[in-house]
Amino acid sequence: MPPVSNKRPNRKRLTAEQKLRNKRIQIIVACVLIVALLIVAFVVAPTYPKAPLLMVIGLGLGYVMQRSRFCFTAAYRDPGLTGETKLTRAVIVAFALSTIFFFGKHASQFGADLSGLSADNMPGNVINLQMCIGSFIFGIGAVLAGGCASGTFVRMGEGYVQLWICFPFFCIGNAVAGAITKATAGTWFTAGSKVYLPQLFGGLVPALLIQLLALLGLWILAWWWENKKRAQFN
Amino acid sequence: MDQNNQLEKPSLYDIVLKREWSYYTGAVLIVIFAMALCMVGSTWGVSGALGTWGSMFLGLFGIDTATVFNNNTSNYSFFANQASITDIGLLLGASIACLLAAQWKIRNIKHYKQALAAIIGGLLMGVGAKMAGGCNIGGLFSQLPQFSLAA
Repeated sequence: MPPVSNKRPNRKRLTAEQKLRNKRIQIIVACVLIVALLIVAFVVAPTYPKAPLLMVIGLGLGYVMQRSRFCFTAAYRDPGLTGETKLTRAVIVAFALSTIFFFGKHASQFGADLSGLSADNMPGNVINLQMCIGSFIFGIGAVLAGGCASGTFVRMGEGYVQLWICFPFFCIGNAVAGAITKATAGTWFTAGSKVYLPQLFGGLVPALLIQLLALLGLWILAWWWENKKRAQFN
Repeated sequence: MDQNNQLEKPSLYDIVLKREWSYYTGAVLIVIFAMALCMVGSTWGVSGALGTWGSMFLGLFGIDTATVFNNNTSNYSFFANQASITDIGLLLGASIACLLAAQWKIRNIKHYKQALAAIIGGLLMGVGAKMAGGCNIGGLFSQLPQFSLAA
């Protein structure tokens, strides 16, 4: 028998007036929240001048991610689980667009021939074994808990109690893992270096083209995968 | 349904606020916002601030977080850094999106196993994120377009 809780009474049916009243209350709460958040942001502004901009960007990101049901881990999980790659293809498109943006930004930051690049200001994280294991653990945790890092916030805002339970443990796990990183810093576990593709490929333009081609290849692969899986079900 | 027995045409409120958006729309808009964030400050990262929040919480129990957990929280102001404000904005932005479409509802868990999965999943996510140097956004979405191989 599937685990179904039969301890809750029947859900009450709302009349049309009650539904309209709920709808009005929710919209009013939304407007109040927006105004309150902007006020908070402007109050913090004297000590931290970027606060209102960041708050607006955060609000926009939350809004878009909720409305379009975006989830980064679903992009990796769905092809294996259900064979659907629609979200995966949208994530690939997002990667391609931001690749072009960072291409421009790095060109202006490091100079067109990467002359301003040094070991200190190379963008990116260090590649080492700790990172691989950490990513693996993160993936398992994300699928178990029902959302990635950003998906946790989005679903908490929507009202999913499961994610409200998950969030404190996310914070605690992050803090506890600081002890692990501190213990392994400097040992063989963390031996590695940053790899920056334009340095590898000899220039920004080849790196851009190779990355875009790789993303296009992945997009086509996702398209083919979905068609193959769909054909099995028909 | 009007008198001609056709479906009602969705109003502007429906399209913008109530209906779901397609994935591609979301992808493009997220990239635009992430670009704006990158120009304002450093690149986007979601779980960067959470470690410090967790340390502050555990510090209430008297654990000295600076030495044990490698997290210096003495001069950390809750609002005065980019990751905190972005995360709070993300949370409340999602709330506002739901509220404006009148779809906000507390979705309770229906079985205790969901809570168990949430707890274990949360711990694993926290440990994994710290070890990997970033969550899914800061580790992948902000690394891969920057041409670093750390994706």
